[in-house]
Amino acid sequence: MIVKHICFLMTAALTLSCRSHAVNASWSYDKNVGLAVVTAGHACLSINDPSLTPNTHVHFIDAQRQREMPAVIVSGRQTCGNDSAGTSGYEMRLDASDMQIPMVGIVVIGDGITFARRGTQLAGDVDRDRHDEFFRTCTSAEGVHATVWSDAPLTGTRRWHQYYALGYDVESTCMPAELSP
Amino acid sequence: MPLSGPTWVSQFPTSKRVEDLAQPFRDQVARFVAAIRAAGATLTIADTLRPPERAYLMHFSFEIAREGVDPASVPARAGVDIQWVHPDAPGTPSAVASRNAAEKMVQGYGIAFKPALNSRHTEAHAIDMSISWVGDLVTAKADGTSVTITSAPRDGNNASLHQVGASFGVIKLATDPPHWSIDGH
Repeated sequence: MIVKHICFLMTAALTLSCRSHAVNASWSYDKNVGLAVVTAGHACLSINDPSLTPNTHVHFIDAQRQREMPAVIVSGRQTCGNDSAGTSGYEMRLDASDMQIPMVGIVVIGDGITFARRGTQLAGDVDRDRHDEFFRTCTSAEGVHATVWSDAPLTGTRRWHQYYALGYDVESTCMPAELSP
Repeated sequence: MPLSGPTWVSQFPTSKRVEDLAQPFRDQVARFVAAIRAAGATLTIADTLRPPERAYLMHFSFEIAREGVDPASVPARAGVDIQWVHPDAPGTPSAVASRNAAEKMVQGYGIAFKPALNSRHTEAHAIDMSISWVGDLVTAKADGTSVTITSAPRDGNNASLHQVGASFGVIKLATDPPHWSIDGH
């Protein structure tokens, strides 16, 4: 009986430890993850945070090719086009020399985030809860659905979702789990 | 026959005009748009007809530039007098020049994902629009009955608004927020 109580207390303590591990309490998917569109002339970030300043370092994730690239905020701008309500636009700079552009990617903001390969997938614990996050983009009828997943893409917990209207019709590649609002 | 290249990008532009939709969808959309605007909502039309000629140019420029399709194998299309195969200096077909010209079209169109050849937009049976309002939206269905929408979100994703649209024959595609069509595709 005593052993059972000790095990219970240890389990509870470990669970609390894991849940309280977030490094920065102000970090949130809503404010720290956004969508970026890269064209030949511009890289524009749309994100729900109006307070980013020039020289802020961000992580640009090419979910199609499953790779991460460092980028930096250059300046604020009115809009990126096709923005969701309430988002702010920023001009970004990133080394696009070997990128296939135009491109739609996911941007994550946060200090000390590292990314690594898990098989063919890029992964990184972006919210510091000791669970890896995974990144996907897919197409519906005429837009891109970008998603971030904890533990596993498609079958894990979906943490973030944003839609970007392309303005032309495309071939659909999305799975049902990626499409719900 | 004009060679492929970025000068094609400005041709066959996408329309924002309800008048460019096909009947009877045109009248159905016009009535729905009028009802929503009369109710005080903000409604902005982004796209109506995407000309099939434009879809053809986008689709095959992407295939040549990004998927290695032989430009000589691209089917001709009536009304689009384009030459996909570029000659080199001696006048023989150049795969590199053809691909480079197609890539300039891809860049000009801003294509990030492979464009579809056919859609409800190319058939003039779809409209993309943003809709939003403040407070309750009191609007009319197609049969003239009044509907008060009190639920959120107060935008084009509202399920009650979708029912109003359906009463006019304008059907929401749930996976693409701006998109409404004759049959929900």
